[in-house]
Amino acid sequence: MATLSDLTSAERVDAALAARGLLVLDVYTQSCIICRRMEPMVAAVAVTSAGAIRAHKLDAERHAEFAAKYDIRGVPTLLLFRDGRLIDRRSGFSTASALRDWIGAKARE
Amino acid sequence: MIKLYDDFLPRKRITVLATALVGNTIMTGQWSRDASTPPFIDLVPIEQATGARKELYGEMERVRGQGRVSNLFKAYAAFPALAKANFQRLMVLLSQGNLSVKFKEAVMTALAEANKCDYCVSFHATALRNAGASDEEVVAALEFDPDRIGLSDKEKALFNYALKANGDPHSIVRADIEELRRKGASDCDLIETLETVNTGNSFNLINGALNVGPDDFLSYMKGRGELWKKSA
Repeated sequence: MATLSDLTSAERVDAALAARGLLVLDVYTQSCIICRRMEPMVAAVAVTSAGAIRAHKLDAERHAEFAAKYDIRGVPTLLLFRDGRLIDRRSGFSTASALRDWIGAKARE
Repeated sequence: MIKLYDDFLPRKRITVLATALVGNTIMTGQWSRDASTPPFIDLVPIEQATGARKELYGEMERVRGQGRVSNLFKAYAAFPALAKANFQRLMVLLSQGNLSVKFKEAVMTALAEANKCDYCVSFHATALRNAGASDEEVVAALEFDPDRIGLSDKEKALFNYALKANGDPHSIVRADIEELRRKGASDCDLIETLETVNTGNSFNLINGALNVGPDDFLSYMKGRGELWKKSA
């Protein structure tokens, strides 16, 4: 699966953050080429986690308030949440292997 | 990181680049091929080829087998000399150098998935299996996981280097190269890997931009585009 479901409404964002467990939000913009190239990496990590990690994408331009709240200064930015609480973030392109290492390390903390 | 917060946030823009309408669904990204629409370029069948095109097809059949002229090269053959040069370049890449064909086809399979070229997934997944990969290893390539493809440590590291070069070449720093050196990668290995990325990307782009679909002789890993559409 090469794509992530897009959180197109504030209600969907709230629902995603309300759920328990690990959540990766891939913050992107429509015109960001690097975001497009990274999305399949994030999607693959979620698929291969056997349900341990949920992942969605979120358009920073559509969700300006959210982007301001989480201090999104550039895209792509990944926000990692546990039980709705932000536990880490990273910016720029990452391979799926790097993401697996990152999320795995944070999950063990 | 490509855009500053202040650069994109205040201005609500409607982006039309790389956006296509498929049915009632707006698709963004490189994949926009519509299987119900013919290619945007004439793919001359083998039996109708003449002149330089016929010569190219003949060379491809000698290397790949009778009838195995791919749709990609039928498109490329609109410029026969360029098509011939590209086919020869591909043959050099796959038959020379230090790295295994399995590695190169794993990289091109992963790139096809990342770039959302459904034809290219089917073509390179088939070639990857022909290079000795199991079905599980093909799936691992599609999931960008070099640890499950059966590659050497050096090739695992080069697989991730290839993905990073495709994702954002300017994010690669000297430390990345030093790590590859520690795994035994030579200058030739780096060039061979980057040329594999170049080759995969150029094929993905041509097939996407010309709406070129999978060859009739392919049957493995077809239909990725429908899966991407459903998951969007």
